[in-house]
This record gives sequence, structure tokens and C-alpha cells, in this order.
Amino acid sequence: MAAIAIRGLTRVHQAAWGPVAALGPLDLDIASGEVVAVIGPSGCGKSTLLRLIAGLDAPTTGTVAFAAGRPRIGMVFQDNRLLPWLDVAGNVGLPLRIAGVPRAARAARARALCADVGLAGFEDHWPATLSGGMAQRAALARAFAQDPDILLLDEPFAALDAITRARMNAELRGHCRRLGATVLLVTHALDEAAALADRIVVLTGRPGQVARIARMHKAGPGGTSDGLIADLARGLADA
Amino acid sequence: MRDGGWLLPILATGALIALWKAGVTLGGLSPFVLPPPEAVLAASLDLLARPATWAHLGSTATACLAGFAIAALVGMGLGILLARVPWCDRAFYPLVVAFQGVPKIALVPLFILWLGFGMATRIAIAATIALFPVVVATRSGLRAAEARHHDVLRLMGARPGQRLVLVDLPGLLPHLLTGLEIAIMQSFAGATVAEFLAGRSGLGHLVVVSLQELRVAEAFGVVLIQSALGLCFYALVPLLRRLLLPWQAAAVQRY
Repeated sequence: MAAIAIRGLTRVHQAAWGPVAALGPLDLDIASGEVVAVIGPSGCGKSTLLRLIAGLDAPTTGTVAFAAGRPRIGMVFQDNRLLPWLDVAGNVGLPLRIAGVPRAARAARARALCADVGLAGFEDHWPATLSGGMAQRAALARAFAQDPDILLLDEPFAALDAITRARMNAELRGHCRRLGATVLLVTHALDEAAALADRIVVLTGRPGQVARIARMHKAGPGGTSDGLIADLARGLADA
Repeated sequence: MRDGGWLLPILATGALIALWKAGVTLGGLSPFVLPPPEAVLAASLDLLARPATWAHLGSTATACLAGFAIAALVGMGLGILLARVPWCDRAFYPLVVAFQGVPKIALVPLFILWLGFGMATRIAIAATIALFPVVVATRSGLRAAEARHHDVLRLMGARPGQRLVLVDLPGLLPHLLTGLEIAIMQSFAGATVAEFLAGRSGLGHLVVVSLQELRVAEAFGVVLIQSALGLCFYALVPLLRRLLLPWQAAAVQRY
């Protein structure tokens, strides 16, 4: 069974000027351990899709079902959403604090998680003193602290400069492999999607529906998927 | 202090005092209108040597701090009520704003009628004047609690109580401290005015008595002491801010 089974999912936002169909209807199955990238034009409901899966918003119609019953879901947003009044270790250890893990165990785990994402030595820094890339590392570590079955990444590096972004993407690939979690990555950068994902789901403009699904063959002979990416890029331009 | 450190403000203060002195000696102003600066300084030192002055100062401080404490507690309670209960906000917030338009000093005769000429009246006036900034700061601070931070905690399965402690209260603090900063100065002003009109003690009362007995330099001396006390109160909140908000490097926005 799929780790995430999405059936007939729609979401209609109530805007001030009336209802806006943001997403769907959408059907999608994501296998356990799979890394799926969702791309599409801005405003196509990519973020809405993640919020519905995370349970932060309720679907207007349709369902999101999980194989794991109630999976642990970690999420990273485009803005880091660190709590400014907790230091880095406090933010990273926040999921553990909420789960009631004792202080000492929490601190040790937070330190280890900080080291994993390259934040060793920054445990007692305030978020306001971190660079954008550092803050996003802390946000990643916080999501990892939940020991997530499912990792939802909503354009996590979109606000970073190109060099930092490339490095963070390379690191993220390592993290995904290490965690073995099911990963859903929303992005508007095709190269980012191609570098990270097993499958790329292309959404149409609002309301977002599946335009096409492309499977990446990174391991196969001839390795690159340049032709496919060029093809996808043309498709995106038309969407 | 950046940009020249303490030198410029000290020079500016010295220049103003020199101007004052020049006005008195060259301008021929009567010492009954404007006593020279050295007479004012001597008068305040003389005042500080008298135990009675300290009793007045204690009386003023009591009225100001008690009024401030009441305003802080009641103001936070009202602010939480308005921020959390929508129908309360709709019903009462317009009243709160309308009340802001009332010159609270105009209520002093009423408070005297209700509470007499004692400390109770002064505390009540100080509290009434200081109340509004606390209500507004608490209300807007709680409403500003960011949905994006609540999202993060909901994802982690946080209970409402945990979200209150981890998101709402820390987010409220910077707003609340700004409100308290305004409130303590308002409370001091309220206590002083109440002493003018309804006092048998307090520094405000001392100013009135000095002027009635035509000891003008002494009246100025009291004002100097009042200013020093006011500065002490004003320094209290930034101190709290540094203790409670180490994460906030820069000053928060002002109302």
C-alpha cells in the first residue's frame, strides 16, 4: 500500500472576494521511502497540497490516507519559522519538548541533530543572529527531530542565494537517503526537483491538477535525464 | 551611545544651563519668575537633606507604583479578554478607544468625591491613566501571535496549553513591555497631578506648597527631584526588557 494515498482531493479557499478553487481534484499515490518533487506554476496549490497532507488545513473534498495510520510528519517551510525566543538547540529540540522528553536527553539529541546539519557550535545562538542558510539548517534539524515518517518540504531553499542553495540541496539528498523517510518536496526549480526526486509531479495552473508524472532514472546507464528535463521544462512553460 | 558618545549631550545640556544663567543675569529676570540654576541646585540639595522630603518622595513613589501595578494587572486581564473573546472585543473595544478620548485629569474631581483626599484617590487616578496602554498592548500582542508559529507547533502535536506557553506568551512580551513602558510614565504623571489637586503629601503637593509660600527656587528644586524619580521609573522597563528578552537584539517597534 502507498505511504500516502490521495483521492479526489480539492481545496477551495474562502477569499474576501469569494471562493477560490486552489487545488484539485487530485489523485496521487506516494510509495514508502519515495522522494517526490511537486512542481508547477506559482499559485497552482503546491503549498496547499502540503498543508492538506500535514493536516494544517482541511480538504474541501477528498481524502489523504496514510499507510502508517498516524505518521510522524516533519515539515520545513520557505521561511524558517524558528521561534525567535528559543536558541538554536531549543528550536531543534522543540518537538522533543512537546513530546515530554526530559531536558537532558533533549539537549543531547538536539546537539547531535545540530551536528548532523552542520550547526555544531551554534546551539546557543538566537535565530535572529543566524544567516538564512543557517536558519534553514536549524529548521531542517527541527523536522528531523520528529523522527519523521513523512518529510514535507515547502520550497525550503527558495529564499537562499544560488550557491547556498546548491550546497543545501546536495546535503538534503544525503539526509533523505539517511532518514529513509517518504519525502514530498515542493519547488519551482526544475533542476532542484531533478536532482533530488525519484518522481516529478507536474501540476497545472490553478486549480492545481496533475499534468504529468515523470520518473527519474538516475541510476540507469546514460545516467542523466537531460532530455526528460528539457521536455518537462517545455511542458511547464506551456502550463 | 554612538556618534560622539556622551560628549555631545553633555555639551548640549551645559549650553542650555548657560543660556538659563545668562537669561537670569543679563536678561534681568526676577528670581521669583526664574531662579538661577545654582539656586535651584542648592534648593534641591537642601531638600534632599530633609527627612520630610523623603517622606513626600515615598508617598509619590507609592502612588505611582501601586497605580502602575493595578493598571498592569487589570490591563493585562482586559487585554487577554478582548483578544480571546471575539464578542467581548466587538462590544467593548470601541468603548476602550472612546475612553482614551476622555481627558483622565478631568476625572480627578470625581475621584476626590468618591475616594476623598487620601492615597486611594491618587492610586486610582494613576491606575486609570496607565490602564489604556496596557490593554492595547496586551490585546495587539496576543492578536499578533503568528499563525506560522502555531502551524509549526500544531505539526508537532502541541496541546493548546503548550502553544500558549511556547508561542503566545513569548510573542506577547515585547508588545507588553512597550505598553508597560508607557504605563509607568503615565502613572507617574497621574500621581503627580493628583497630588496637585488632592494631595496632603507627595512631591506634587510639595511643589504647590513651595509656590504658595513663594519659595520659587525650592519649587524648581522639587521638579528636579521629580525628574530624577521619573528617570528611575523610566529606566525600570528597559532593564526588564533586557532581562526578559535577551533574544531581541534591536528595540521593538513603538506605538
